[in-house]
Amino acid sequence: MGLIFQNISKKYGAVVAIKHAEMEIENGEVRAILGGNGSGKSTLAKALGGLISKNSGEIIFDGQSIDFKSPKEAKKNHVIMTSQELSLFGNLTVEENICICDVPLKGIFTDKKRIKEKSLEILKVMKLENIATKKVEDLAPNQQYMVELAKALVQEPKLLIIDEITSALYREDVEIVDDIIKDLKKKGCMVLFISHRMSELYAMCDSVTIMKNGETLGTYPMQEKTESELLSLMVGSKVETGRQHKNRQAKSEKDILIKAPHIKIPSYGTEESLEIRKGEIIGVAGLQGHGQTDLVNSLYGNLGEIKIIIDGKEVSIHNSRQAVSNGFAFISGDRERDGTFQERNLAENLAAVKELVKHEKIGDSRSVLDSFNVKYDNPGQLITALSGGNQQKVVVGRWLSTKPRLLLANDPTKGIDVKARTDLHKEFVKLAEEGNAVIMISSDDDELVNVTSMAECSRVIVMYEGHISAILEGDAITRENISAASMPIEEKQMQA
Amino acid sequence: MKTLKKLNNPYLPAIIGTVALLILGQCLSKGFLSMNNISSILMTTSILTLASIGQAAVIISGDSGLDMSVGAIMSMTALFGPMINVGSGVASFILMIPAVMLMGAVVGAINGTGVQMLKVVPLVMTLIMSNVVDGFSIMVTKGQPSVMVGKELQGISKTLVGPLRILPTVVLIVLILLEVLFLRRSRYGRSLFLAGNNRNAANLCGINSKKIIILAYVFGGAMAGFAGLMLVGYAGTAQMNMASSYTMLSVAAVVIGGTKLTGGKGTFIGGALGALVLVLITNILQALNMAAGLRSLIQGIILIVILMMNSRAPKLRQ
Amino acid sequence: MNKVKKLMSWNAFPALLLFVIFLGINGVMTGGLSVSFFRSFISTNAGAICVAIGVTATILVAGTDISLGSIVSLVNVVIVTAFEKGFSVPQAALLGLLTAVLCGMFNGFVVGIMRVNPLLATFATSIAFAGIALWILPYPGGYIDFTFGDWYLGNMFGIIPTPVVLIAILVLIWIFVMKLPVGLHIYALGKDVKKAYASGINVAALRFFVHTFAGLAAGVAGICISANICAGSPTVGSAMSMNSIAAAVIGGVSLNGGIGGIWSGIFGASFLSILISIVVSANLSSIVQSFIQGLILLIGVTVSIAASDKEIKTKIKRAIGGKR
Repeated sequence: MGLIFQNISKKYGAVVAIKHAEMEIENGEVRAILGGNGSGKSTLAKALGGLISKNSGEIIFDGQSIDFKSPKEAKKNHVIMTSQELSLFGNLTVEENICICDVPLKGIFTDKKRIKEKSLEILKVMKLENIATKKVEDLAPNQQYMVELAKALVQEPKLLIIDEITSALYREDVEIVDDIIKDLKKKGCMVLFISHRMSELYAMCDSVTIMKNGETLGTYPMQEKTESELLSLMVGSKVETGRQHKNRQAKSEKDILIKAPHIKIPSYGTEESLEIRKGEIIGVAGLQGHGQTDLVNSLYGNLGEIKIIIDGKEVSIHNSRQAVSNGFAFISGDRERDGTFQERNLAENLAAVKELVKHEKIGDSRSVLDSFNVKYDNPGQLITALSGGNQQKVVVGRWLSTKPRLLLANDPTKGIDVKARTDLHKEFVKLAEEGNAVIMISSDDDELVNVTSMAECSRVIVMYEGHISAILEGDAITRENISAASMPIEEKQMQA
Repeated sequence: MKTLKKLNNPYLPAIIGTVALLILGQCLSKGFLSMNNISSILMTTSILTLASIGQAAVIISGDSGLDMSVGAIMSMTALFGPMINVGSGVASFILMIPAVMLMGAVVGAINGTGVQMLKVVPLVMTLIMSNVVDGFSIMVTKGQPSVMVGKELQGISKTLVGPLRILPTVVLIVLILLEVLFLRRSRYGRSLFLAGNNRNAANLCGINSKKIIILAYVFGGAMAGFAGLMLVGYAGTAQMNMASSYTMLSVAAVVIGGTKLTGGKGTFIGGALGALVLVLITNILQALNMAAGLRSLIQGIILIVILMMNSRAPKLRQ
Repeated sequence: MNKVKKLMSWNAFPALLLFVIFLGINGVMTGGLSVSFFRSFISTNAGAICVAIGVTATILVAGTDISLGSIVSLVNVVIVTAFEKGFSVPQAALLGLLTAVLCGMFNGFVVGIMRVNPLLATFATSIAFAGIALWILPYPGGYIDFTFGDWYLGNMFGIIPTPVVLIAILVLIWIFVMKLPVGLHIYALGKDVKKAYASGINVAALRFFVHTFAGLAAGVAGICISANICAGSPTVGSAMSMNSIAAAVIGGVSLNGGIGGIWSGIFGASFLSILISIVVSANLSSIVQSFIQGLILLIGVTVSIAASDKEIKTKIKRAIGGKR
């Protein structure tokens, strides 16, 4: 019984995505799959869900050898895969989305009543009954992810594959997901959980399979390995998480680089002010969607004109070009949408800002790529030939080669493996140490604690409903303090 | 390995197609490879190439960019271009070129503005503009064009450079100059690729994508305007809608030349090769004295086959 | 109140409203609305409406079909030729319809199964179909028995004009499809192909179906037009492809797919048709007419797209609010 992978391999053209993957899962087991970018986790998940074909090997599910030719066939066998990029239709309602894979019928017609009943049943568990008739495009991101999960659950999975679904959930939502998964376990459903978030993996999973370079390295009971043991298995070498504890001083007397008295946060209709000092790394924390993204977009001039004071001089910025010429840089975690030019090669991707906007020569692209530790064959290859982490390094290289005064980064390490993450952190710190400033959003509080501890001078600002609810400095930057400031209302309720 | 890689380039289908068609043409009709016929093939190819250069720029600009007004612009400038008369024939001819390019550029600017500012889908915007332009041509000429094509303008097909007529030579030079200096080297060309590939990212980099894309339509219009003048110079007379078939021919040429319709990638030279293939097909069918309907059927079928070989979307399941 | 709101936010509503307004204007210009005006309007424009229905279906799945005009021409040519070869009128009409469905299936094959970009694919097939039409009937000519015209201009079931019945048949087929799970799948596919595939939707089959339906719609349009003119012309439908896309857009169908519906196509086409008939009846010289028609299309499409664009909407709102 259960699920057995034997010797699975998959090639995309000449690129080997997985080779000889082996794994066994028992009924009712929740298995984490952990690995860096390009380690083949998602490919494995897609092969299982029938989205892609495998080149060799056998998958044995419930004692039978299976080879799904399409997602439809996989779904018939209750093998359900969900992933952020492949699930919901914005133009349909939540209930339609939930039932679209298996539309209930009355005769040959769609049974609208059953659609409603079926989806309400599941939405109730998630405490989201009120969104059933809304269109998905009108939902907040975290609600969309919950609907995605609901869509998977309604198909009564025997094997549920969750590919990075939890990376944007509120903490309360994570608890609901936790409950749902426990319930699935009881029913004997197998769950494959792909995520980069260690704390969630520890909370939900029984065991973990490590993948590296397309191979499965081994499976361990989750509780037997510590976080750093798992990470070093994944990377293949000892990882220093970057905590170096430099002298954390609240050096408020440092020179001010930029004063921004009116930063508009349109999502909440509020305004905030910020003083950015030279050599400083400012971490921006808070629950998803509480105005962090607006804050950096606003500073970059993406949300209309903004007046700021740089080096004592007042400047107004109302588009990216002006921001760039004032020495700003903008790195987004959504590489595909905001970062890479996928049809173009590395050299062109690298030179986009420096040569085309700032009209300076970038020089030899090889040396620039090397200086950012990018793994590549030659600068003429397409950027999509690189792994996600390396693509992001190219994007970072594009900006850092312009020697920015202020780097704005919106969750720049989203979906990147630990090694690449640490590399980027080091670059950010180096930039700050040269007398510039970095403002970095992260959905991962631990990351902020890490980065800020590496820099000489740093703060973490926590946002709540469009306001800065706390500014943490020095030793006050801890996970606990960030969490507390992210949900100030609960505190008030507790006091009351 | 390297030679293999070189062979596997986007021009390959067009080159193979050209060679195959030349052989086929010679087999089917004796005089096909005569200097005279080749020279006339090259003339038509040159005109289509000019149109396809503009079309390629628009397609590269992304956002499902497409210029369906190429034919209408060409027809318009074919009608109005020769009307320019400032006394001396040579002066008129020299004035005609910037004038027709300006006419085309104006239409292109409207296209670009509609697409970028009002966010009308390019296909629809440019299709409708082609209607407007055609209507405009009818209105101005009152539906009865009487065009005198001056001998300087006709000279583009009569003057010889070595064994070739002058236009193909000029177009070849223009093509290579535009490809290398404009598309690949210039700041504008490189920005065009980036804006066409990922507009959002280009904007964040500080590239003004809107301006870049609108300029691509302006460039496309100007090239079409120029192509229209060359067409009338070659044909010697002008009629209403004489270039309407060039719209889709230019799209097809660009596609056969290996440019992706999704934008951000492509070449002018590929479009020229595609144009050559298309002209060869038409020429062979004409040489066989086929009925117009049958000819068009065969053209359609060939195009379908090329599309099925050359521009299929990737499989959903890999 | 709620129902009114729902009607207002219906994406075919602006086109319906415009149609009614311009129907009124036309009434004023020609001296009152009459049943006979409506009858002649519907019999002249039923073809355009049918083609718009067909093209709307393809646009809904984020495709398009620019070969429908050529199919209309081909149907016309087939009916005329078949009739002259000795087939009865109904036989000839059915033969035309069959041809159209086959053409649609061919489009569906190239687009759905061979995965060629729908715009390019139907461009290529439109050349082929128009070529066949021109091959069969090189010059306008031929005639069809006037019983065909009488049937078309007459009533069915006693009171309903035949063109209305023909349109209604297409609408009923579409409504039937929408009630099936496939209806949901069409909107899902229009939004995102990859997601649709991952959700277990048979993408190729759905595209094949949509193009076949568009072919059927073009076939019905071909019957309408043939019956209306009772003669043959190999280029009778050439302008219809483009006008139908414009009609769908004006009716509120999003060219990105997944938004809009069959009524959008119907009211968009009706609105365009009434506008054109106003231009014609305004006694403008024919030289100016095509320019003005072009301008109308341009304004209609830009306005309807700008009006449905959220960003532009808020900009306009802000501008108006600012003035206050």
